[in-house]
Formats: sequence, C-alpha cells, structure tokens
Amino acid sequence: MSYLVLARKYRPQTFDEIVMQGHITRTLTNAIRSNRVAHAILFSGPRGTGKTTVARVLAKAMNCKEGPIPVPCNVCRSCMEITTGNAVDVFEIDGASNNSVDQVRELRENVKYMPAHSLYKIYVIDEVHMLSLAAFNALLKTLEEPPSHVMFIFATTELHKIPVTILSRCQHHDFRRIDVESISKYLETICSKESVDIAIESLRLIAHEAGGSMRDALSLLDQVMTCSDGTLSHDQVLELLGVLDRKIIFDLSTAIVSKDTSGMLDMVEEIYASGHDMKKLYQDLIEHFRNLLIVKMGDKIDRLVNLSADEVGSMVEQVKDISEIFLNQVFNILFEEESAIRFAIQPKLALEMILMKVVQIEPALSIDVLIEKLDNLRKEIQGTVDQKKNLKKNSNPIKKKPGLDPPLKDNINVDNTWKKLRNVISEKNPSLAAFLKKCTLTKLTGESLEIEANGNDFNLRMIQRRKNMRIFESICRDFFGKEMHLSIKAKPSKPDERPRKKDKTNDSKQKAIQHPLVADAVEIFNGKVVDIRIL
Amino acid sequence: MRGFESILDQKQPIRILTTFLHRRAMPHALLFTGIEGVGKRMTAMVFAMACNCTENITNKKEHDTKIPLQQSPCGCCNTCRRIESERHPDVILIKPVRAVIRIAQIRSLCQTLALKPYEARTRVVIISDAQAMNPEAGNALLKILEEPPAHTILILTATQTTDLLPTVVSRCLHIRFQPISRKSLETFLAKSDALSDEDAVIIASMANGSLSKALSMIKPANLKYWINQRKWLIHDSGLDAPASLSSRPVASLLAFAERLSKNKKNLPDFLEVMKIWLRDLVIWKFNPKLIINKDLTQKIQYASQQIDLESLISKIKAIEVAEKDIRANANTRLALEVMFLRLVTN
Repeated sequence: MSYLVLARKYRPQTFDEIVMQGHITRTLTNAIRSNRVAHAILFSGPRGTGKTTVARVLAKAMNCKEGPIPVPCNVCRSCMEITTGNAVDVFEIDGASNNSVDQVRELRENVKYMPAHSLYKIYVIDEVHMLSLAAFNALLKTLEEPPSHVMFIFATTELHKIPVTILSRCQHHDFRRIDVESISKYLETICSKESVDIAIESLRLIAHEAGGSMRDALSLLDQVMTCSDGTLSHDQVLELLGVLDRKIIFDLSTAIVSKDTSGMLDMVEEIYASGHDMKKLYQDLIEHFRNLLIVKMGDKIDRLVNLSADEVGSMVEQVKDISEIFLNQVFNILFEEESAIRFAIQPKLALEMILMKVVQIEPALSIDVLIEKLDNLRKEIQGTVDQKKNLKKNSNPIKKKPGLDPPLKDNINVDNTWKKLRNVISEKNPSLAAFLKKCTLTKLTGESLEIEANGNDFNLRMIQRRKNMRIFESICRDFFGKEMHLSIKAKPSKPDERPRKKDKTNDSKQKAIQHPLVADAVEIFNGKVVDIRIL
Repeated sequence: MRGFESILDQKQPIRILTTFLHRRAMPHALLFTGIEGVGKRMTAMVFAMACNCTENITNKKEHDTKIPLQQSPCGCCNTCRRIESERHPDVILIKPVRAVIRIAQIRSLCQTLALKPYEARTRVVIISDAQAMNPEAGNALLKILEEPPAHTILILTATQTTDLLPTVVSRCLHIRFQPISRKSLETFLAKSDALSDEDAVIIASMANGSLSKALSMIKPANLKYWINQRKWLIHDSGLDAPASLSSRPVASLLAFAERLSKNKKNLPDFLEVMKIWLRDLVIWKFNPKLIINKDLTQKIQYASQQIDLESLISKIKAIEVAEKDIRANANTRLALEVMFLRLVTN
C-alpha cells in the first residue's frame, strides 16, 4: 500500500474513536441498541469534524454480521468491505458530481432490489447540498417511505442549501467544531503512534490554526512530520506552516497604535516577502484588535478570548495606554475596509493603504469626556457672562434692547443678516423671498438697506411693485425694530466680454509671429506662416 | 534541461517537495499558493517529472521502497520530455476555459481517474488557477480530492487560499510560494542579451516579484514598451505632479482617458502602474527605501513633497473605484473619465 496521509490512515473505525462529537455518537449507539435507527439521517457541520467518518461507522454498525450493534466488529466481510470502500450494499455517492435528477432516478430504480448479503442497503450521499432542486424533489417520496431494507445517510457542510422538505424527512445531527484542547490531545496520541517527537506548544499551534477542523489539523501535522527528522523546534514548525508568529501580529499592531508608519511598512514588506497571504494577515489583524478590545473591556476574558494566559497578559500590557474608543475606531476601519482587500488585485497595496488610513486616525474622546468638557465650558461662559453683566450694570446703567442691535452694528455679518431676513420673508411671503433670493445686500447701515438685484429686469420690477415694497418695508420694520429706508438697484451690467477676447487672441497671434524663434524657423525652412492657431 | 534548480528562489517549497521524493512518501493532494508567475505550475511539472523520470524508476528502485528517489529529474529521458511538452497521458493539466473551470472538466477528470494510469508510476493531475473553479466544480472535486485512487497525486495552484472553498483547502497539503526577490529577477534578466542593466533593474522592479510578468515585458516586441508606457502613464495623466493636477486642462485628461480606454487588454496593468506610482508617493513620506519605482527616486521625492497624504489616498481610492467599476462591466471610457475627474478634484 502506498503512503497514506494521516487523515486517512487514522480515520476512526468505531464510535468511541470519534473526537468531541459525543452528543451524536451517544444518540446513535443508543438508537442502535434500542433498534430505533431512523431510515434517513442528515449530518451537517463544518469541514473536518467527522461527518463522513460517522456515516461510515454507522453503516458498518448497521450491516455488521452480528446484526446492528453499537460497536462494529471490523473483521466481518461487510465491515472490511466498508473500510476498503468497495462494499456492495453501501453506496457512497458524491452528491456534488452526481447532482442531476437523472442520477437520482437511477438511484430510485435500484432502491427496490434487496441487499446482496447484508441487512441493509445504505446510501451515503456526501456533499448533498450540491444536488439540484429537481434532484432533491425527485428524492422526496423515496426518502419519506423507503423500503424497509434501505437507509439514507446525508452529509453536508452547508445546511442552508438543503430544502426544508428534505430536512423535515430526516433525523438531523449537527456536528460541533472541535476545540483546541481536544485536537491537540488527539494529535499527541497520533504523534506517539507515529513515534515522532513534537513539542506540545507546536501541537497547540497546529490545533489553533486548524480552526476546529480535525482534518486540517492532521494535514498540517502531516506537513510538519514529512519535513522533520525526528524532532522539530517550535520555530521550524512556524516556518513550515507559514503561520504568522503571534509576535509579528503583536509588533504590527503596536506599530499601528503607536503610529510608527515607517516601521509598520517595513513589517508589511517583510511579511509579504516571506510569501504570506495578505488576506490571512488582515484577518489575523482584525482578530487581534477584536481580542485587544475585549481585553480592554476586561469582562469575561477567559470565555471570549481563546488564548493562553501569557498572551492575554501581554495583551493587557499592550492596551494599557490605549483608550477603548481608539481601539474601537481602528477595529471599525479595519472592518469597513475588509471588502477592499478581499477584491484587491494586489492585496499588499490595499493593505498598505488601509493601514495608512488607520494610522491617520485622530483618537476621538469618549462621549462622557466630551459632555464633561462641554459642561465645564458652559460653566466658564456663564461665569464670564455673569461677570460682564455685573460690570455692565455698574458702568453703563442705560439698558439697551437686547438682540436687535448687533446685526446692525456688525458689518461682517451682512450676509448672515440678509439670510435671516430672507428666512423671515419666506415665511410671510414666499414669492417675494424667491425674487429676493437673486439679490444681494450690498450695504447695511443703521437706517438704510441697499439691495442689488442680480437677476433679469423682471426680477427688479417685481420687487419694486408697490404691494411688494410695502410688505418688504413692514417686515424690515419688524425685523430691525425701526423704520428702514430701502433702496433697490439693478446690478450694473458688465460690458460685453467677447470683443475683448478677440482682441486678446489677435494680440497673441501677433506676438507669435514676432517671436524670434518663429522668424528663425521661417528663415531656416524658407517657408511662410500659413495659419496661426491658439491651443 | 529543466530541474528544480531552474526555478528562481522558492527554496522552502522545493525543500519540502524533495523531502517527499527522498522519503517516497507523497501526500495525495498538494496546494501551491503564491502570486502569479512565481513558478507554481512549473514546479508542479518538475515534480511530476521527478516522480516519473526513468532514471528514478529502474526496476530495482521500483520495488524497494527504501531507496530514495533521485531528487531532480534528468529532464532528458523520454518521460521527462513528454511531460515537459504536456504530451504525457498520465500528467493531466486542467486549465480554466474562458476564465472558469467548469464541472464538466472535473467530471471527466473523475472518470479518467477511475481507470488505471496508462504507464506512469505516479499519475499527476495539475489543476492550475484552482480559484477559477466555480462552486459546482469545486464541490465535485471534493470526494476525489479526499481519497483519490492509488498512485495519483493532485496538485492545485492558486493565488490565495482564501479564494478557494474551505473544504478544498482542508483536504490539501498547503505549500506557499514566495514572490521572487528583486535581486534574483535582476540577475535573471541581466543574463538575457537584449536588456541593458538599467532596463533590467527597471523591469525587475515593475514586475513586482512575478517572473512571468517580467518575461512578458522583455519580449522583443514589448521591450522598451513597458518602460515607455510607464513614462506615458505617469506623465500624461498628470500624476507626475499631482499637486498641480487641478490646474491642468480637463480636456487633455479626458482625451487621455479616451486613449487609455482603447487599450482594453492592458488596461488593468495600466491602472496598476498608476496606483503603484501613487503608492510610492505615499510611501516616500514615511519609508523611502520601500518604494517600487526605485529608478525614479528623484521624481518621486519631488512629487511627494508637493502633496499631502490625504489627497494621495483619495486619489488611490479613485483609481480603485474605477477598477471595480470596470470589473463590473461598466462602460470603460465613462469609468475612466469619472476617475480622472475625481483625480483632479481632491
């Protein structure tokens, strides 16, 4: 037999060997014991958690020579055949490549024949989510009431693609992700079986990288084992797996929060040059900032952050001087820009630009602090105002009407006053306000307003109508609190610009002709100037 | 002839592969990732040659699994030459057809693999640009990828693992390829006669770690083309002085956009050149030694001083938006014109 990868070599052959899926294996063994196994079972869950494996073990348990038993003997003809994958009564169908309705029809044709030598005829359809809708529907009747000698086992990673009509006809088992602890323990037993010596730290790293999938973990372990000669140091493992050392992520995030742009760019370059996936780096970075944020909030760190105690310790150290708000800002930007890096042709370039943006963040103040500051400011202002009032009362007993004079006095505020006045007018007489919109207030003194009408003649005449003027005056009286003199003028029209432009072009043409270079060129080539164009 | 030594850089992947050969323990599914043109497919080919080289499988070695295989193929035996010219019946190469690998290709592969190999000791299936597989094709590959028949190795090449189905990645042994260092590219390019040393430096920096890109740039027809193109792109788009871009006549920029839109084939590369130039201007402010267009240092310094960071980033964003629109089948010329209008206004 040629070389087998670990994931295939150590595929569990009994229910007991399956890691972390106790809730499923227990249910199934109990069902077998009490002879209550459903005729259609659906397994769903993330990749590499044991769906196909459980399906095969279940098939063995049902078809074993000793009748359905919880622990298959693994020596009888049926068990052996299933292990080697050439059983006559267990059909392992690849749902993804046999996904059309014709193939399901063929299956239905064969269902009615009795099994060759075992108790049950078992159909295992892997990747069942890829069946076409027609294929699913063609299966419905058979699935609901199959002949007594038939069993269906489905396995899929994408439960949401299965029609509800199929779901309701199946007994559904959901596989869990396998936690880091269980994976590393299992890896350890395999290492001892293979007599390879790998540090527990490295195994934990592998388990962490696997993301809850045993097959991923075993593939990684395989890779490490093929390249080792007996023992392996942690650094070698890191290099082999191409896992970003946690330290690099730490350093990079420190550079980001301390705004060391040049150092940050250096690091990105270095990571890129060693062939790391920029998108992976970005995901790691997001995860790191998420962890930092949780550590900063300091609540339920153990449960929410899946890291060792020293790492949490160094994270606490890292976030000591950083505000929660700032971390939140960084996290937000990283999150928002995720799509940019996902679709980038050159992820490195995109990553650099996103990090640039992050570095540009001005740390915002928390709302509490802002309110406090505003409060202080208000108190200060009130204090000074009170003081002023007191002062004024003492020095200047004459009381002025408040609120009316300032706009008159302040010439800088002419535009503002004009806007306010127009707002008042638009409330009372919208049509007049519309005409006035095209005018500007050119001069504002204590007792007169000078207004320039910019629009066409019509505009001016409409404003100067007696009725409108009266309304205008009365509004002004209310607004300024006294009688105002209004003078409305038309804007002096500009002299036509066109002739001047023509002059200008003529002028530059003349200049071009007289230019010494042109004269020289004419002389050298013995030619004449035909046309002059301005570009 | 070709062997592992003809592949630039990539010491780590080659070390892993030669260990496999040495121990005669091949995993059944390999995934090569790395940017375009770093030699993933070529390495896969050489690996296929090494597995099947007649030097390697004399009768004695065939049966005694203890004897390690020779680590590099001879490259001149019958098998090696047939594999190299893609005429070997047991080295199957699957490529995207019109940018997609479809389920039909995978189905026919499954059928072929169900039969025994014609003559090879180790049948090798190379699926290049595996990220081009559509979901149906990817799923159809899963079963065969997990448990292929004996004497069969599947090698997938892709730019990034994140572009593939996670269920595909989890079934493969993953080997990363690094971008080729600028120095190796330079020495490689300097060997070809048609190129002066200076041009070699420029092209090495423009290729950005990709050998295939560099090679396409030095084809006789293309020689000087890319250097001139870069000059044209940076100069005529007004990006050589981005600070005074707003004072340039918009009409000339729109005319430039029109000319750009005519060259549909190279457009993505053109936009990339412009983006890299702007990126250099940004980077110069912080870490001058990391710029990509090293030969233009002076120009970069001058231009970078003229303009602030924020507007540079917004300009890059404008180009990115245009790239995205063009990918989404927008009218190329319109997208480019809008891009230039955005570049002008800050």
